[in-house]
Amino acid sequence: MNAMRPLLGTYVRISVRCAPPELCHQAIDAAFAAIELVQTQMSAFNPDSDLGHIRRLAHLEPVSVHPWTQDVILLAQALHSQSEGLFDPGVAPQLAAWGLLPITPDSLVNTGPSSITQLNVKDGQVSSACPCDIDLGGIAKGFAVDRAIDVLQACGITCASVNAGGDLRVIGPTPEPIYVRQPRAAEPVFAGLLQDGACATSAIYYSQQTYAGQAISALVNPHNRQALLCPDSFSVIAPLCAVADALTKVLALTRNTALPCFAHYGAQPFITAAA
Amino acid sequence: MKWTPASALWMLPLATLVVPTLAHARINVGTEEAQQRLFPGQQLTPNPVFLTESQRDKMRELSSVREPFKSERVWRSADGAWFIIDEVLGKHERIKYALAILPDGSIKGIEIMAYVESYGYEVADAAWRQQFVGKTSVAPLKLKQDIQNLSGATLSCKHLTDGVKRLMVMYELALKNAK
Amino acid sequence: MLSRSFCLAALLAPLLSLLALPAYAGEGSFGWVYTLDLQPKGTLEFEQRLQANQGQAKGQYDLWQARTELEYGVSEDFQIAGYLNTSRVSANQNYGDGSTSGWLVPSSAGSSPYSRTRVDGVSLEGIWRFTNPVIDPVGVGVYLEATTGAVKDELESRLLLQSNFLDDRLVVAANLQLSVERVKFNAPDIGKESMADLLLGVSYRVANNWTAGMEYRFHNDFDGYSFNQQTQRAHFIGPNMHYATKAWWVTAAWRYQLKGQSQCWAPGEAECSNGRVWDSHSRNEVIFKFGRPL
Repeated sequence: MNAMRPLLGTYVRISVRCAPPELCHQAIDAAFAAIELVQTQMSAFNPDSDLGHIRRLAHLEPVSVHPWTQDVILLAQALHSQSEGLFDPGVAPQLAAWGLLPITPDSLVNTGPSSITQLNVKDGQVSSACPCDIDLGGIAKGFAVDRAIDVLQACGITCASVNAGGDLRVIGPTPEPIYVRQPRAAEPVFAGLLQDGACATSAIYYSQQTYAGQAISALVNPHNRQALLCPDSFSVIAPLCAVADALTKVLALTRNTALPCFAHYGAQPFITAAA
Repeated sequence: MKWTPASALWMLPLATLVVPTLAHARINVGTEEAQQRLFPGQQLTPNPVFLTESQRDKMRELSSVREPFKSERVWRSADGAWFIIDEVLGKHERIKYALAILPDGSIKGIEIMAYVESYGYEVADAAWRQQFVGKTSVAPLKLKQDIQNLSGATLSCKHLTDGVKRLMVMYELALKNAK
Repeated sequence: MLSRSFCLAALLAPLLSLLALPAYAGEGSFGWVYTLDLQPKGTLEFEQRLQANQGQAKGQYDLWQARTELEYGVSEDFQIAGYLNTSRVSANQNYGDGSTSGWLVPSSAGSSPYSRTRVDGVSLEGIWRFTNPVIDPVGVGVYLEATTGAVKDELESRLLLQSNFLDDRLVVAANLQLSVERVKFNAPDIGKESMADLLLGVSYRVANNWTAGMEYRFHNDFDGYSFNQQTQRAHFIGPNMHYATKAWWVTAAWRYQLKGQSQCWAPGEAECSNGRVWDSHSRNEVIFKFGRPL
């Protein structure tokens, strides 16, 4: 049984097999509910989300967040440390300046560059010493996919796939063929067979545009705040989709498939050259 | 987790059997996405139809489309709406499209499916497809009559119009009164 | 350094997006027969044609003719085109009487080897479509072309007919051609000629992007501008193939002059031998066409 809904800024497709129809129905509904929760709490476009509260208030007083938000921030910080700062959701101000994200709240204007490391997370509360402007777009989609899979498994489903606009995870005994889209190419490229794992791909062909006469994209290097303009597709295979999602950003910025952070997470990166 | 990259598959003895089908397989996102675009949030169940020889002849006669219709790609909603996938000849390749018919028998919309960049061309233009919305099976559905042409895409426009006409004839003959 | 790559990317991005726009070709799916598949209004197409004419009575005769073309759709049913025509001829004792002769070989060549590469001239063409074979049972159109240059001045007209069958998979086309020519390459001798041809073509879409078919030419050459005196008659037949995608297309066609069917009359008896005609015709003619919408 398949179902598809527009969420997380893309189409999310959940496919469930080897289970009776009523169970599939229930499980799929529950999985979509989980994804909606992630979207509500971690959307940069919703000022009342956990993320919105963090951006506006965390430097003034500790902000209470959903356990999943805490998990994401902790995971992001671990990834930041493992990737030596190449993965950093603190690029939000740059994206806001270019119009790719909503305008930074007044309280954060004229602050220095933000970094995920500035956040202090403990016991469901997030605080920061100074104003911190972060965007979880580089990891939240993968995280949502993982939560959906968790829900499906909790419902007793053993064969399923969750695909959020190319960030996907599969469970079950049948290997799933993975295709990578290419800009301007008619056919996606067949990349391999995946079983019980996740795949995420980053590329600029959907976010690339011009701002004030300069070409920009949504893939920004945290070290020099420059936009990535290379047209290739960057993919990572990993046990967890959130990790795969975050690591694609690291791969895109470095084009280096041998970085230690990939091995650390059991991830397999690959680059698909633009046609 | 088990990941077998495409490069490794070439070395497997099964590669000659498995890889050709995989390399040419098209992603099925097209069908679900088209269903969601035409019937957002609705549940559609597969409802393949069996067409008799005389029904097929009638469809061919009234639409002039000779390409045989694959009648297994028909879905139905609980309230009696229909979603049909069909293919017609385009300028170079085939055009795969989906037709949505409301319970009252009028056209809800048309989506040009999968890989719009490589076929469909100008027929993907939303304003052109909008001409079909609301038409029923009594409409002529003929290019240059009730459907206007798109400059430079006459062949695709004609085939798509004839294809939709054929599906509306089929609706009249086989789907309208289906239980 | 970084800003230069930004500039480059900024320049390239809109160009790349242009490449992503759907394009459409007024395609020449036949080698020699013209169809009513015209350039849509406001679109431009580049075409390159290369024809190889090989073999006459004996000896050696190789004539390469290239046409570089730009086509423009002025309206839905009217297109114009401009051509640059170039050629290379290489001949040696190719006529039955042992002379080096034939098209583009001046009489000064005698019986010695002769070759020359040159710009023949330019052409301007217009095609009007009155009915469209995709919609109407028979498509009808008119073609006019004016050519001028050091090789010849010519006015060519054609009546174009085309019918499509089987969901437009099968195309049947016919051209009735009338031309008048002022042949200049053998100056100071100026030739005055006229021509009446019938071209027939059939092509079938055998698979996605591919069509294949056959073409036939019935050729009649006359002395003088008013079809005063017939000098030649010839029949040609051969296969063609065409491959097209959204961004470009190619056509290859070959025609063979049927032996024994052809005839010629005075003044040029050497211009025929063993049942075939020479002059601008050879045993085999092969044409390649490449088209790219711009």
